[in-house]
Order: sequence, then C-alpha cells, then structure tokens
Amino acid sequence: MSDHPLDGVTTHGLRKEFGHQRALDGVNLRVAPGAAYLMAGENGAGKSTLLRILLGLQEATAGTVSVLGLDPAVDGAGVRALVGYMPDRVEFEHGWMSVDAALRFHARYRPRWDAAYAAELIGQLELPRDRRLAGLSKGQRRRLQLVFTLAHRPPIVVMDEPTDALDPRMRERFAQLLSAYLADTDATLILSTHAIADVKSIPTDVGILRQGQLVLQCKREALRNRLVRVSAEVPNDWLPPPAIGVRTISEEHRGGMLRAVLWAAPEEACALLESAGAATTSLDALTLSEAVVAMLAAPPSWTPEAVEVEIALLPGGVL
Amino acid sequence: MLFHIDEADPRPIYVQIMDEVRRGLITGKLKRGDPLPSVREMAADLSVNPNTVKQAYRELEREGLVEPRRGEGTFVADTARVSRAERRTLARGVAERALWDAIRHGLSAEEFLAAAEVVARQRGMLTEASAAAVSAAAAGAAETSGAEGPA
Repeated sequence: MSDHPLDGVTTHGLRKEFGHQRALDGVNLRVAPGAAYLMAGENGAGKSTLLRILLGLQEATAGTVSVLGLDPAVDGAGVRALVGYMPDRVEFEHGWMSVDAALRFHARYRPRWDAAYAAELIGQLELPRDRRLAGLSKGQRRRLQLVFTLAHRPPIVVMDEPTDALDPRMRERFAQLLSAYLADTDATLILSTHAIADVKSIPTDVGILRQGQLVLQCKREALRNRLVRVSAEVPNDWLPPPAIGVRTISEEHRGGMLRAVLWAAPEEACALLESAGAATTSLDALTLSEAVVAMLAAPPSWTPEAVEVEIALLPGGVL
Repeated sequence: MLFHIDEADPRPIYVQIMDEVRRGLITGKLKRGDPLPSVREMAADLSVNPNTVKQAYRELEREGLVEPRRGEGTFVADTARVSRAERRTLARGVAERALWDAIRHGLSAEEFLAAAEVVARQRGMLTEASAAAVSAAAAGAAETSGAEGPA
C-alpha cells in the first residue's frame, strides 16, 4: 500500500475526545486508492465519528487526516466536493420539494453532477419522481440518498450503514449498483455497516474498530485463509495446548465437544488439533460477516499482531 | 453462462471466477471467440469488487484462455484449450472442496475415496479398466507433486 500523502485516505495518530471520553484513540487508517474498505465495529466503537472527521464535519482532538491530499479540518468544503457521503441518518431539510426538484437542487451545487446517471439510478431504485420528499417512505428516502451520493460521480464514496431501511430486494440492487459504480469510476470506497452480508464480496480491505482503536486492518483475502471454524471431539479433561490457546478467538467447550474459531489456516488447524489429541469433526471457512462477528466477540486485548507475537514465542516454533 | 461464486468458499474470489470460466470451457458453455461479461457486468451480477474481476481476467489472459480486444471487451481466446494441467487444477479444486465436506461430516479421507469409487461404479461412470487408470494416474501424481494435496 502506498504511503504517498496524495493517495487515498489516511489518518495518523487520530484522536477524538468528548470531555473525558475517548472516542478515537490513535487511529492510523490506510485506505489505498481504489480500495473498498469495510469499517466494522460495535455501536459506540467510533465508526461514525471517524467518518465525520474524514468529511470535516467534526474536528479531531489530535492527529492528522489526508483525503486525496486535502486536510478536512482546513479545507472541509474541498473534501466534501470530492466525497459522496451517505450519512447514517435519513432526514431531508426540504420536505416540500418533489424528488425531481431535489435532484435539480443537488445538480446546481455539484459541478460534476451526471443527470443521465441520476435518471438511471432513479429508475433502477424505483423512485417516484413527482412525490414530495416528506411523502417518501424511510426506504425510499434511503434510496434517494444513494442517488445524491453517487450521481455527482465522486472519486471517494463514504457510506454509513447504507442498507439500513432497505428491503431485501433493494439490498441486492444496492450491491449491484455499487459494484457497477466502482467499475465505472475506480472510486475509493469507505463503508461502515453492521449488515456485512449486504455488501457481498465488494470489500477489498477490512478494518475493525474496538473502543476507538483500530485493532485490525488488512486485506479481505488475508482473512479468508487465517480464520477457521472448527468442531472437534476431545477427551473429557482436555485442555488446549498453548499453540491452540493463543490462536483461539472464541470457543465453546462442553463435555467432549469443542467448537472454536481459530486464527489459523485450515490445514494448520487440523494438524494442531490432531497433535493435541482432538478429533476434528468439522472445519469451515468463514464468510466476511462471520469473521467480523468472531473478531468482535474476541477478548478486548485480542489483536492479530498480539497472536502472531505469541505464536512466535511458543516453544518449538510454529507448531 | 451463469457464473456462481460463494463468499464462504475458502478459494479467493478471483480464483472462483477463473474456475467458473474453466468450467464453462470444459462443459462447452463457453466456446472459442465467445465474449465474456464486461468487468462492470460481472462485478454487478456477482456483487463483487470490479478489481477482483479484473484480476481474474488478467490471470486468465496470462494462461492464454482469454484475450482482451481493444474497445470490445474480453473474449475466450481463439487458441483457448483447456490443457490436461488445467483440467487437473480444476479437478483438484473440486476434490479439495469435496474432501473438506467429507471431513465436515466426520468422515476420513479413506472412507470418502472408497465411497466416491463405489458411487461412480454404481452409476456406470467407472469401469475396471478406468479404475486402474485412475490408480495409476494418482500414483504418478503423488510421485511428481509430493505432498501438494490437502492434508
């Protein structure tokens, strides 16, 4: 990943405090140009705060931010001109406007507005052009927000819970439209969501925020081969050896059955369990959604780096 | 042809797309000179990142299976031939997934292989002669590739 300050979106040592509460604690975000970055974390982990700081809508307590080489704290308007932002709230100020009038309104303030593309999105998202904004359902308002976000063809797209309030069919369509948009524009995407299954296989990178700290930041494909769900039959008084213990993200050990998510390649997990006297009965790769859920449920101190350090310190090498 | 990928599959997504194209060639659903979906269409259809589709097409091009034509998109190469090596790659991928499935069901590799042979015979897909050829090929593959297969 490039460290050139003009590339993509980066933060360094980003900190945000609300009174005595620390919302962001030393976040070093690295989003390469053209990446699709999934930001995951529990409620209150600092996701929305981080996104608002990137947009210049909130000021950081300390640290630096670069969005395509611009500092949002200095040139917020410049950043917001480059970014298609879909906030987590669904509210419109001008409820009396029709959908059509609202599109013209946005077009006036967006030099790069693409009216033909806006019309295409309105059609695909099945929005009523003559309806007043105040008369739109919650899902319709969310869909209209998606049009406002993409129709000015921004090189950076930032979305906060974008599929919230969409029905299952529109969630499918959302993922299709977003994939097509990225293909057309090579835009960089930063997306925060709890509904990870909705964004399908779009993310190329994953970051996990926990209590204001970015505990994980990696390529999605790097997770595919490092996380495995196992179940195994174990002797009644079985205790996991250190090599398994340090790799365990979550476990449920009842009677003679062990169910666990391990930080290990599948064949590695199999070999470790076998050498520890456990008979593997199932071994599954995790979807991105399952992987994130597992890591969010991990102990607070858990990080991949800490695991790798502990693995390196194990007597007798890797195995 | 309908392409299919699975987010829970242990293969990287771009490899899944490559295997789908190989499957198309082997089954005859894709023929030489056929257009592949554009990166945009494929990305939208599968809801995958367009860069992943580009990576798959690039790798397939490197293998000589597809060729880009300026301004027209990507096509199955006129010289595309699914070589023995590619058939073997595809077969190993299928075998690996089937084997994981067997392990998930608490079966050993031996039980799985024995059952696969019985089923193939029952369906008339495997004769004595072809079974002997399978054993010989497997022995040869083990010699040349060492411990390359799944554990």
